[in-house]
Amino acid sequence: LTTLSSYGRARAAPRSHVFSSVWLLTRGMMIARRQVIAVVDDDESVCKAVCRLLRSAGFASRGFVSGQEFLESWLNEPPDCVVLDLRMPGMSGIEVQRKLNQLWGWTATIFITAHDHPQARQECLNAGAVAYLLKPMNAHQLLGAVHQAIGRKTH
Amino acid sequence: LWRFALAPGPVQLDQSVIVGPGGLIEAAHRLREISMHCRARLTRFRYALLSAIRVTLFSLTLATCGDASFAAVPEPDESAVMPVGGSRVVFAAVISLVFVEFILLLRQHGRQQRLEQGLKAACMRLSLTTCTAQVGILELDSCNRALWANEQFWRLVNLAPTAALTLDLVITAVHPDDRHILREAVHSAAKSNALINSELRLARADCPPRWIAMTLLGHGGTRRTRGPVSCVAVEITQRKQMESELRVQRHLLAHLARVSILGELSAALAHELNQPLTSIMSNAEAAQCILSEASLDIGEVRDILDDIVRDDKRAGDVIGRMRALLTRSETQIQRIDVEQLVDDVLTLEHSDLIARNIQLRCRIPRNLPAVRGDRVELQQVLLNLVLNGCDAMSGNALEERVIELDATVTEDSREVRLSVLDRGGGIAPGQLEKVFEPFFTTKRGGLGVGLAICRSIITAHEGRIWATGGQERGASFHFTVPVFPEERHERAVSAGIHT
Repeated sequence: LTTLSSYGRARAAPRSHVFSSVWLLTRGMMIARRQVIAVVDDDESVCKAVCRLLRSAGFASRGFVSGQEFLESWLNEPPDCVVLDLRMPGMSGIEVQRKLNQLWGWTATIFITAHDHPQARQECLNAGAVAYLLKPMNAHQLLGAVHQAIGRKTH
Repeated sequence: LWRFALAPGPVQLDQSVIVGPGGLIEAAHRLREISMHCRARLTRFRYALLSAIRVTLFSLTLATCGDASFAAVPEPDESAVMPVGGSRVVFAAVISLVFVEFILLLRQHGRQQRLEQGLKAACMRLSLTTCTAQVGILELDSCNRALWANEQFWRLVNLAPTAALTLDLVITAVHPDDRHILREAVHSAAKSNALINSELRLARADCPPRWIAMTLLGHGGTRRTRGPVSCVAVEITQRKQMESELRVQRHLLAHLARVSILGELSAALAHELNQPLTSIMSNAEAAQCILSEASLDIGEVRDILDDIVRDDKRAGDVIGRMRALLTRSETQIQRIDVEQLVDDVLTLEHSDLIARNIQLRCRIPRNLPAVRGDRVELQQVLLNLVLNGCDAMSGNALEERVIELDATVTEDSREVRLSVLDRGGGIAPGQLEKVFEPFFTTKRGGLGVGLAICRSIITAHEGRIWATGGQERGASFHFTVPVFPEERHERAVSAGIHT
């Protein structure tokens, strides 16, 4: 199993107008403290790409390829947000969410999945998920959900 | 002498009854043996000639022996002693022998007549059989000249009956692409004395071609010398046409089954495509973000582009595999790496296994030889067996959802065996063979054609497929596929086995 570990750094304002709104939102938060996002997806490629996207948006991100690995590695305080793949071999995303809730109380989670199922969506939201995103999601959707999760946690 | 001459079986000399000069009896005995030996081979005229020679020789021997020799022979039994006479005894003996020979001739003549009648009847029966069964018969000598061919053979190869029939003439009647098959078959039969079967197309301008099956049997040949060859030919055009039609139907059915399987896997396949698309999207947007910054990290952008290319290829591979399964094409026999075959199937099945919470334990040895077969069809068989195993375990507890996939090479290194073991409900012992019959199913909503198609595919690959009960629970499905010929040879050489 591979752990992808990297922390974002303060970046200059983007010239492109596409990410300007997202950038402004994240920039404001980063001034106070760099937010830490954990990404859990059994697909190493997806995990790495999502981590990279979050890092480019100014977050600190860590990737894990299984729920088990995430729970074993992350022993201190909870991350600011967890991006969870719904279907993974071994421990599923919902099981990880439940474990997190047991360990640290409510944790801001965002579910990402390629299987859209109304029942699964409802189950995730009932378990306390902030958002349920369908793959392939774009940066706007993901970063928007991350901001929403962090905002709710802060609140 | 009478008893001696008329004895039906091999000669048994009774010294207690026939008492006479040793040389005389020995001569008679030898002559009779020669006669018995030659009787089967010689013609009636020659036999008569031999008989005359026998009589003359016998008489001369008797005359030269004289009465003195009788006295020299010890008499084992006094009561059986023959009276010793002079020329009268010789005369009586000659007359007796002439009469004996005459009787023998009559017997021989009667036997020969019966044999000839039997031979005629056998010929008629053979002729009737070959005509009814439409069987052509050709006898070739050691120089490939035809000794005999029946009418049906002429009709079969579409040649006008000619006195100078040779193998070369028969070969001209065969399709140019198949001529070497006949030539090699005759050559092998002439030297090996073995039964050789071959199927050939006949040269014909119109389509479709006519097919004949030839069975050749050599007799009397050795490794160095050729012997005569008997050949039996039967037309099998109709059978070939039916086989061809069956093959088309089997392809069609197999294709429909593949489409059905892919329908079942559509959600899993969508997932398999969405994964690389998600990576590509995230990477591309991260790159856009990085490029818009004042301090450009070229190394990061290069990594991103590499990942995008890799993910794009991955998505393309999934589509390629799907397209291969959906395409209806002719069977393409090729060299197939077993590990790659299993990998292709598991790539398609990967998301489905996760969705069903099924653990897969795969044991594929590294040094497994490549097999000979059609990639798509073998993928279909493996996919079908894995899906069946998954379906069988749908009611199991999560920890009991395990599929084991094993691949081994058989002891003789001629085949690779693939086994799929599940922990489902298993198969009743009486149904182990029945599960491969068409329209037999234990699944709700199942058509019962999957395993029947698997069997037809594996049979067409000259392999075997069978089911067994699991060790504790569940079922095991096994199939074999022949090892790619060159690999078999390499393995045999490396193992020191002479093939």
